[in-house]
Order: sequence, then structure tokens, then C-alpha cells
Amino acid sequence: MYIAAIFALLVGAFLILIRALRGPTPYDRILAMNAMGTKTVLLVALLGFASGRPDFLDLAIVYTLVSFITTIAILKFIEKGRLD
Amino acid sequence: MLWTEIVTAVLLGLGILFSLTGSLGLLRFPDFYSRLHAAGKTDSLAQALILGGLLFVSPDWGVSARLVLIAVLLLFTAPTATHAITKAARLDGLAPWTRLNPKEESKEDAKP
Amino acid sequence: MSEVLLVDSVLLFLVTVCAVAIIEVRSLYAVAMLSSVYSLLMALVWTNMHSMDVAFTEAAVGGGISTILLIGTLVHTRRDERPAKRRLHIPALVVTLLTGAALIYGTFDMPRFGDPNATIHHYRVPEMMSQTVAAASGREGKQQPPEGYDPPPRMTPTAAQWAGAVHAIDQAEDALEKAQQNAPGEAHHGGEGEHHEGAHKHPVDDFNGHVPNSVTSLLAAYRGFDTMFETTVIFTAGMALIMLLRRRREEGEDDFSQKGAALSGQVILRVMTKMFIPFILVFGFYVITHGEIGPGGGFQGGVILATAFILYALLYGRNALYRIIRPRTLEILAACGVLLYAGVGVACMLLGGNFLDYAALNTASPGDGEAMGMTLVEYGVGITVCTVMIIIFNQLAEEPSKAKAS
Repeated sequence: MYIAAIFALLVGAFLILIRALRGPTPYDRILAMNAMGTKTVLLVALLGFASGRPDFLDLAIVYTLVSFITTIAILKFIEKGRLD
Repeated sequence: MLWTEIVTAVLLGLGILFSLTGSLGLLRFPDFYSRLHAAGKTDSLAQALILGGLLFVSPDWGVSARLVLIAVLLLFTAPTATHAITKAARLDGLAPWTRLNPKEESKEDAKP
Repeated sequence: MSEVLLVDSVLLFLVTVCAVAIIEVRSLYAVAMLSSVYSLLMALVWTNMHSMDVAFTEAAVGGGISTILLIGTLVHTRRDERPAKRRLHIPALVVTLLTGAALIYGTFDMPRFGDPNATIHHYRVPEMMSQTVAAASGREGKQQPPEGYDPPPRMTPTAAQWAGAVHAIDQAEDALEKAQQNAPGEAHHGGEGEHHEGAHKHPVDDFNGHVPNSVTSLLAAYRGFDTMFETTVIFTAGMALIMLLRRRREEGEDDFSQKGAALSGQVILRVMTKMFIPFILVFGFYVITHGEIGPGGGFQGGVILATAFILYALLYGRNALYRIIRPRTLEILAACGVLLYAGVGVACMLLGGNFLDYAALNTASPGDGEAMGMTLVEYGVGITVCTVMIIIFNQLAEEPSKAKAS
């Protein structure tokens, strides 16, 4: 059951990766990066449950924060041209 | 199978259905703003369904609390990030795709 | 084909696609974003192999801080990569192929992934498991060597040697007790006689104490010197960046002279982020403190703490960050982290043990002394890592020269 879900999410990740490579505007790439972050959170949770060790959920929390912060950083850079 | 596992399987199935269709839309839609709909909305719903489905098979209450926490965090951050991306694109002047202008608006990576 | 292998193959295929794309794409923004995606995929690979601490560090450092610092360098360089001349360099290609082939040939001698008969599971790990998890909870250790396995005699002390060492320590403690009882007055060392359930005398080779996470115990106790010098290296890196990138101050300039840019127009972003920052800080401290029990530790927690401050700087501008925490304070705190680590070592020496021998911190129950020592040094590591990351961010986000006005 978990394996099917994991593979479906991996297929979704592959499609997102294609968009990240192709996307003509930089905003497409940011969108793809953000979506990939959410998929990774779900994948980590599913991998944790599939292997019987739910300790992985701490890692999922870190991912949520990390993808959010990266999106904000790149948006600030594109909008203002500087990071501080 | 226990009824909890059946409920989990159903919710997981729904979640990955939304997730897959969202990714497919992200790949195939013609314009940035429509891709935004695909990526932002479906992801928010899919994560709620998947994490809610995992709630039924979690071994103890600590794990359940963490699942709820992740779901709430994603519920807050994903729409905020999507809004921020949209606003940045709009302020930059990215024009939406219309049927009169079928060529995809390609503002190449020629940014500041 | 096991499930782990299948998922691993798909993930490695995605990682390869991403890596090739990073080399091929010319726009440097895209490279920064793709490198973030690469870090996320690599962390998934580690998660698939169940190595949680590595995945944690990859997520926090690779996905978060590295991407932000890459974007910080984009401020200083051009937008696109210069097109490289496509010339095939034959000697380099030959050397690379030969090295790769040698490395792959070397992996044939390693045990299969997850093999229970691998050497790693019979030398160090069963002792650690029986010492730590069993000692802390009073149950049998989780991992035992399979029956019929005879470790090579030189690698593990025999039962008689263990017993002999423990016996010698028992005798020494008895003699000490007698001497104390003979001495007049003084409060009797109350913890000598009673032990809480599952505690054990301090055998010769017990570096781990009552700490369930073996990775943290290895890092902080068994290889404590390594970790101390790693922390020093991080501190040195921060100082080197200050020396290389900091502008010379003109007359009348202070910390607040440069005008930063704030994302002040975005109301939703500001409000939502204001709600998050306390949570991120608490989570960072949780990861540092909880590193002994679950995945985590000083490095990961320090990086998470730093991302909270960096998020604040991104949202409100550099002057707002400098109002909260001055650069001078950051530099002092970075040094304090390393000082805390080395100070714990010296404190152990003053209390009668060796340098970084945490068992000396709590002679009644050496296992708990180990745990306390590990917590203290993890905090030292966390403080140094957090402040150095903020310092690096500040230096990269600073304006490079006087000519480029804000």
C-alpha cells in the first residue's frame, strides 16, 4: 500500500522536475521547487511509515520549513535584486 | 484487513490521485498562472488527505500529534508561498495567456 | 529486488537528471533552484536508506542554507554563465573513468546493504546497544550478534576481560568508600550505594552512557575530539569570510549605514512569517536537545536556528536584523560556542577525568554524566553553527563595494 503511494509520488516528482528544467520563466522554476518540497515532505512521511519507524516525521517538519524559506529567499532576490 | 487500514488506503488513494493530476497539470498547462492553480491547490489538498490517512495507522499519540502538526504547517506555508510567487510574477508584469495570444508568454530568464 | 532498491533506483535516476541539468543550464538562477531540488532528492535517498541524521543535515544545510548562500553569491556575479568552449579533454576523461572504475571495484568487497553479518554489527554496535538502551530502560539490548558468530579474538574483549576490568573498578570503589567512611564528617556520597534501575558500573570501554541515539553518542563522546575540531573549523570559516568579504568602514559609518531592502509591501507574507519564527526557534532548540534520543543534534539544530534569523532578515531588511542582534554579539557568541565545548572538556579534567571524559561529570552514575556532557557540547556546537551561519549570510548579503549604491 505504501509502496504504490511512494511510486506515484515519485512519478509526480519526475513530472515536476521536467517542469523545473523546462519552465521558460523563472517563476515556473520557483513553483516547481515549491511543489517538489511538498512532495518531499509527503514522501518522507510515507517512507517512515513504510519502514515502520515514524521518527522520520521530525525530518518532514524540517523540510516544510526549508522549502518555505528557500522560496522566500529566491523571491526576495528576484524582486529586489539583493538579499538583505 | 482492519477498517483503519481500509480507510487509510482510501484516503491515500485519493491523495495521490490529486497529487498526480496536479503534477500532470503543472507539466501540461500553457501558462504560468494556470500552472499555479494546478500546483498550489492540488498540493494543499493532497497533503491533507495523505497525512490524514496516515493518522489512522499511527502507532501512538506522539506520532499523530506530529502528523497533525505537519499538516497544519503545510496548510499555512503552501498557500502563502503560492501567493508570494503569484504576487512577484504579477508585479513583474507577466501577462496571462489568452486564446487571442496563443504563443506562450516567454519572458526568458532575463531578469534584473 | 527489494523495495528499498527500487525506490533507490528511481531516486538516483532523478538525482542524475537534476545533476546533468545543473551542469547544462546556463542561467544561474535556475542553477540555484535546481541545486535546492538536488538537495531535496539526495535527502530522500538518505531517508530511504534509514540514515536519519544524515538526511536531517542534508535537509537543513543543503536544502536551506546552501541555497540561500548560493542566491547570496548571485548578487555579486553575472546572470548567466559564460558559454564554455566544448572541447573534450581526453586525459581528464581517462583519469575520471579510471578513478570511477576503481571506486566501483572497491565496493565489491563491502558487505551487502543491510547484511546482518556485517562487521559493523558485531564489533561496536551490539555493545553500544546493550550498554545504552538496555542500561537506560532495563531491558535487553535491541541488537544481538546472531548465534554461532565468533568475533575475531583481538577485536572484542572476552567476557573474562570485561569481568576483570569491572572487578578492578569495583575494588577501587570499595577502597574509596572505606577511606571516605574512615575520614571524619563530610556528607557521604549518597549516590555510591544505590543505583537506579538499569545503571551499571563504568566498564573500561563505555563511552556512550545512557544515550539511545548511537550516532550522537558516537559523534559527541566516542569521537569527541573530532567534533570539537569540526566546530573549530566552522568557526574559522566564519572568521575567514569576515576577513575576506567585510567592507572597510568609512568614517562615521556604523552597522546601520547600509540601507537594506524589506519586503514590506507583502502583508500576507509578513504576517504569516511573523507567526512562524517563534515556532522555528523552538523547533531548533528541540532538535539540539532531542538529538540524543532521536535524529538531530547540534549541527542540524544550529542551522535551523540560523534559518529563523535569516528569514527575519529576508523579510524586514538587514537593519532590523542588526537591531535584534549586533554583528559584534554574533562574533562573540561564535567563539563562546567553541569555548563551551572545550570548557566542558577542561571541566571534566578538573573533576578528575580525562579531557572530554564526560563520565567524570556525574560520578554517581557515569552514564548520566555522559548524557549531560553530550547535551552541553551539543549546545556548544549549536551556538557556533547558528552564529556562523548568520555571519556568513550577513557577509554575502552585504554590498561588495562603495561603487554599488543601494
